[in-house]
Amino acid sequence: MNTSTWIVAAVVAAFGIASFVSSYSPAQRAQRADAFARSVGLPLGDALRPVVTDRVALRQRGGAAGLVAGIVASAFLLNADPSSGEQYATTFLLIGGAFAGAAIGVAIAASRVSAPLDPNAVKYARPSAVALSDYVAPLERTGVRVVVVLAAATLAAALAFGAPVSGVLVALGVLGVAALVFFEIAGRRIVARAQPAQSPADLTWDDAVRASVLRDMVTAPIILAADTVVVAGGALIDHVFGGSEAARFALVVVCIAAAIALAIAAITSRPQRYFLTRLWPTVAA
Amino acid sequence: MKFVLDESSPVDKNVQLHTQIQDAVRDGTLAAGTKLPTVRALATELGVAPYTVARVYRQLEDLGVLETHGRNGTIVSTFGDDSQQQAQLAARAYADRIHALGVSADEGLALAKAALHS
Repeated sequence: MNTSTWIVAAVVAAFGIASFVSSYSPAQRAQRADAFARSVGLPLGDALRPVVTDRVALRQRGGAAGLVAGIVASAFLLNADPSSGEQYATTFLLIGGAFAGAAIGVAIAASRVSAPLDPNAVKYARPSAVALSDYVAPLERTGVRVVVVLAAATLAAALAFGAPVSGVLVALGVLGVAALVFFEIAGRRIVARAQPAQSPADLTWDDAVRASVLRDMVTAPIILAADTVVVAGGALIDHVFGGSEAARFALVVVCIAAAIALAIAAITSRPQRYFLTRLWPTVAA
Repeated sequence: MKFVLDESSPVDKNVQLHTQIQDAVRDGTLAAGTKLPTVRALATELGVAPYTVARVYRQLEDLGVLETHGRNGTIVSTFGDDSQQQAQLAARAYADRIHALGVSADEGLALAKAALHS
């Protein structure tokens, strides 16, 4: 790793540490909980505020701890292999490792939550089973699979055409597939967990936090696979077109257009509120 | 619709749950083919022993209200004659497809109505 990559690693790690520490600040916790309530469009009443604030802080802490662990692990592995290859691939692997760590962190935090019920209180339960598809919008659920398959295909094409493919680039591709498998398996386990509730509002908020955790988890494979497409695609184009500037420019334009299209689709479809339309249609309306 | 167990009620918890599932199936809130929560999850959510939920599920299976498909879980049974049962399963499959596509329930309903009336 060179100096600029170390700087990237240090900045991301510092962000993670700051996020972890701020999850203990009462003012920051309250601010985060309010921001979360606004993003999902649910009113945060006084009765549920302490529970929701704790859950949001726990998710933040899990994500931040995972992010720092991910960046440290990636930096350690990259430093152990100085023959890493492309600078872009190294930086992307570093950032991808951070996202993968954050995904594992939020999943662990979500699996540690337990809400003790008052034995004498009325208990509420949903009458039908829920699935991953109730929490993650089709755009993200299908999108992640498409991007991972595209990444694998681009990497395979680069190898087939004899383009220079470094170990770091292969690691980036493999990590993307592993992150998708982790999302599918750990996501199902999170969804299968019981949701003890003493009011419909308890259940709605539990769904809201659960959906946000699953959306955090789906981000890692998307980032890793998209990075693989960019770096492997670049290597392939350089190899096939002999380093043509026009071909490189075309790849950059396609990547930017795809990123803008995805951002517009994500904003207009409001995936953070998708669980409401599926599980709480009257609340969503 | 939610299952609600009232601890202060003189009615047994298993009877409360039995009645609520049966009523929900009868009034169409739980449509044929709908998958119910697992025994363990529902027991944890309602604060009862898994045996209580398992017994209610078994009783409703005996009545033909529910059916269990091993690892695929417990679902609401179809009812009526053969064509009605096929129609209920087709409706469930359509609803699942509409959900998977991210189309809203209202829009899915409008599409089904239009197709049936055309």
